[in-house]
Amino acid sequence: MTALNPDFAEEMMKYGEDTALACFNCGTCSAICPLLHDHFPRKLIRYIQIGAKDRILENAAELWKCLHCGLCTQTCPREANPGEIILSLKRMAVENWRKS
Amino acid sequence: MYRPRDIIETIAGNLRRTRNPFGIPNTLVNRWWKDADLPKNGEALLFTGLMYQFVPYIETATGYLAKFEDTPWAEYLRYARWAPSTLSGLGLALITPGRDKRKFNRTLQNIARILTASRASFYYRPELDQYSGVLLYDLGDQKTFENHAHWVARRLTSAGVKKLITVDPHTTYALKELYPKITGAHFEVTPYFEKIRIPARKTDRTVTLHDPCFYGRYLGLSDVPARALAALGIQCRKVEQSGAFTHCCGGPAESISPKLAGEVGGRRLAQLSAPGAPIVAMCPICLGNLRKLGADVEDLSSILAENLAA
Amino acid sequence: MTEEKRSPKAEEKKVGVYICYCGGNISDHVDVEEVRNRMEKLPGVSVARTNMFMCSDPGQEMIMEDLKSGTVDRVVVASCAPSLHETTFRGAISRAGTNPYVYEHANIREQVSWVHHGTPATDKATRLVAAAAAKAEQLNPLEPIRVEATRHATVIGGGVAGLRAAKDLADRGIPVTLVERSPFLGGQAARLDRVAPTGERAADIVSELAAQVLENPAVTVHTCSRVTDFSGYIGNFTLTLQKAPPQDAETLEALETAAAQGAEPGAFLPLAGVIAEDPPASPASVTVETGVVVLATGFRSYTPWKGEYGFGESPQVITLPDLIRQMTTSPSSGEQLRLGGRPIRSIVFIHCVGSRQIPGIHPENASGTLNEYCSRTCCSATLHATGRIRRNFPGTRVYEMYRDIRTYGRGHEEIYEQASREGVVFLRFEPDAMPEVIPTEEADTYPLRVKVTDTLTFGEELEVPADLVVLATGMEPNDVSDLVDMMKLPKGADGFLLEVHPKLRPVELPVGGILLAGTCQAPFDIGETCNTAGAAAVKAAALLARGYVELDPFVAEVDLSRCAGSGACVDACLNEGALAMVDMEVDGKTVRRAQVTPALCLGCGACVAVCPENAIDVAGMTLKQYEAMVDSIGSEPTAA
Ligand code: SF4
Ligand code: SF4
Repeated sequence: MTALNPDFAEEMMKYGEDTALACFNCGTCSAICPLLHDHFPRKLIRYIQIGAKDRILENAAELWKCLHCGLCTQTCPREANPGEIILSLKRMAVENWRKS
Repeated sequence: MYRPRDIIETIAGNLRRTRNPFGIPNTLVNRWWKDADLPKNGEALLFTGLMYQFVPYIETATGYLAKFEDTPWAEYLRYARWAPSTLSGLGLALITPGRDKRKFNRTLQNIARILTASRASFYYRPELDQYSGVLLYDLGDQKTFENHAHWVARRLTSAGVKKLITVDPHTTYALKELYPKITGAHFEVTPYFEKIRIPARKTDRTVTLHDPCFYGRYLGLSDVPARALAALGIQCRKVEQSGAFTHCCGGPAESISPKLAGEVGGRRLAQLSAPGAPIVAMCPICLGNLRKLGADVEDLSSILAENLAA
Repeated sequence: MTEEKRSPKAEEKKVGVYICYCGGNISDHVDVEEVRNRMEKLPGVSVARTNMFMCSDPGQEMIMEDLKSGTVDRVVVASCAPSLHETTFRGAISRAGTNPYVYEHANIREQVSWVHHGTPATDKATRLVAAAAAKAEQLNPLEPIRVEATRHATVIGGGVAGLRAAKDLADRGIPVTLVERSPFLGGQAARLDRVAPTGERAADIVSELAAQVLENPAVTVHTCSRVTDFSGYIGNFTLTLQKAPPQDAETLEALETAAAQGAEPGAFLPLAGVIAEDPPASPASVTVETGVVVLATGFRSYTPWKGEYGFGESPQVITLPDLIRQMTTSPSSGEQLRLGGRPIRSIVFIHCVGSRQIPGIHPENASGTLNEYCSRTCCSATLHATGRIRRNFPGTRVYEMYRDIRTYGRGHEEIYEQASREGVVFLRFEPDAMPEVIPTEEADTYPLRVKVTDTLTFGEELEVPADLVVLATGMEPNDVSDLVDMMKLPKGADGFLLEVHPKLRPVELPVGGILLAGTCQAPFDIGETCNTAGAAAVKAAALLARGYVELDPFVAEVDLSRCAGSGACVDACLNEGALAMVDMEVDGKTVRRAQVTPALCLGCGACVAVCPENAIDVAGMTLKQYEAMVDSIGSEPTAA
């Protein structure tokens, strides 16, 4: 059971992207992503939406699989900029490591 | 897969200390201009951003990383800080074969020859030609990237630089899109292939162009090189994914996971091989990764340079 | 593919048989050319032809040519179901200058090619077409029945649909009586605030429409009125209205508020509507003679059962209409939404409540039925509300739990996107795993928790704390069982009134002269409601325009030379008034004989079956014609 944390999406704004909630979970990004990896990147965007920050940090290494190739951003029908969101998550993770 | 944290901190540390992501002095890396007779004055600064110069070192370093990925040694790497000592600095410089370094020097010399033949007004000053820091941007180390970008931008502005001619997509993107936002410095940034004005020779060459993500998608420039080739009578074959929908070569993953870079690159290579024509790339990362997968890939500049040797 | 073979036939009836390929729909399974070969060998058939699409212009022209040239004088088309194209081909026959009733239709698609294959299909088609040809030989020209029409329309229901239809009819100069059950005009729309997708005030829409109706001298409005009696037929209906002082508490309260505000007739009262006239002090009865009736009886919002998502158990679980009502009396912006002074930190909206119910998953409602349909408007209405709440109250968190988001109309998908960009968080559940609303014990936290198995998060169980749970309730048709009985109206399995054909005759009922407008037919938004109301008004005006209406002549006819006056037919007749025993002069003697009122006759043939003298027949479907068909079917099939 996970309780939702709506504050995390707002916290993410300071790392560059405020479009995570624009995503309507269609999965286009995961279908086009060359990584072909476990709902990447939609899964992480969904984790922002529900505020699962801990889970993102626990598996932060996953983020660096992203090539920042931009195919997902190019094809997202909601212009939610998924690739840029992943980049923002990297920034968030780096800052967290440095703080700890 | 390696711990991104270790890789990032190593690269960030190197960049802070030496202005070079591998900790190798730039004067050692950037030597291509020595045998080329380049103008010291002109309208635009030829700004290589050192990416082509890095490729042999990246290949060597990732070759070692690939050997140990998913073995107990990968863990060892983390504790022993093996990466900083072996995959950085002079150690790395020494184990990198000179043959490879010269190959990439040749690419840059070709670009200079093309610009000269196109009567582009440009100049080169090695002390101004610095690494853009874009790798740190891609890795999410925004702070290190920004600090470095400020340093580079200051150097350029205080030398009075206004126009830049770039040679690779990553540096072009950094200087054109990121620097204005972060440093406030606005340069007029033009990739070298936009400057090409060379007469066509009779040829029936056909090639397959691999559009890099940053030219094809982020900067929307992929038709420019194709047009430059067409002007020379060189045909380009259609690739399954190209232009705004081009497929990544896999290269960006190589510092974190050479295995993943190989998987993604393999899928792209299949697309590029399908038309059956020689493959041409225009980004040092793409070149490096596709070649590592065994493909015979040429740089755009060498195709263009062939047309000069009349 | 058109071949012809003309066999000279003397004084016989000349039947033309036209067989359609239906672009493969028929010809993939029926050997159409083989059927044609067999048909042209039949004695009464003068020509048999085929076409890829008989309903196409070239197909119709082929039939018209044969009629004009005298090659044929009666027509059989073998194609799809007659409900689709019988009128098309009758029209073609008319245009060729021939009586359109010398026509018979054979359905070889739904009844043959879609259900049979191979040789049996071709053989069955042969029998059906041969039987139709046999009947066609017996056909006589008929004339449509013409009845005078009263130039007056009655609209039942004073919501947006009724107002729109009344206004459109009156604008065409047709006198209209508008009947409304409550004291107010505006119906359910009057209970809304701002409406999707435009964001207009529902009050403005209702006020504007009501004013146009009230100002128009051609419209007579009767509020607090119900239809209690109905008789007649298209062009000539008689309705009895009962006016009565309002009784129910909610209406009385609204009227008191109106009186306290000194509201005059014509004024808009929030959440109630426009007051048209003072309510009657005592019951009264009104009789209306009218030519057409437009039904605009509207919908009601679904009421959740006690315990459905905690409804009726926790005061913090309300419906979307409840929320809209409560928000009209709370501040319109601020850090957090406040309802009744209570700050709302977090709201969960649940979609599809009372809609898209699934047998075996959702419990049946009191009448033993399920609302299996999509109510169509609740997604957009909810998204419109949530986006506005996020914008006006940034400190209020909003969650939407949905099964599917169905923002189908122009400008609706944008509402969905807007709500997302305003920060609404969406969660998606499967119908068999409905969210669970759980009251919390601890006084210092949120009063409710909503637990959901979220398919967007890969089937994880998530929990959302809530100050308020809002149920996006769907639409149900208003209870019009009295009208359904009186007017013999068909209802769909969903309980809404059912049109003749969803595409070809979308606002007509099989009962001539009665039309549909708005949500009595199906869930619609206000725009769609106005579309159907406008369409019904145009249909009604067209019916009344000529002063008379023409009806199909397929009605009972009494053969007075045979009728012995037994009266068995009158007892068997299904439609009161269609048949009666009357005194009449036959051969100089006064006798009691059966007489048909053609406009009321349904053409069902119940009378034909019971007449001991075979003295009554339905025109165009006579016993003799059926005998010819049966003989044809019973005879040896025509071999190739
Ligand atoms: S493509 Fe865009 S909207 Fe669709 S799941 Fe990915 S980020 Fe979300
Ligand atoms: S940018 Fe990252 S997440 Fe997006 S398609 Fe490329 S690799 Fe996948």
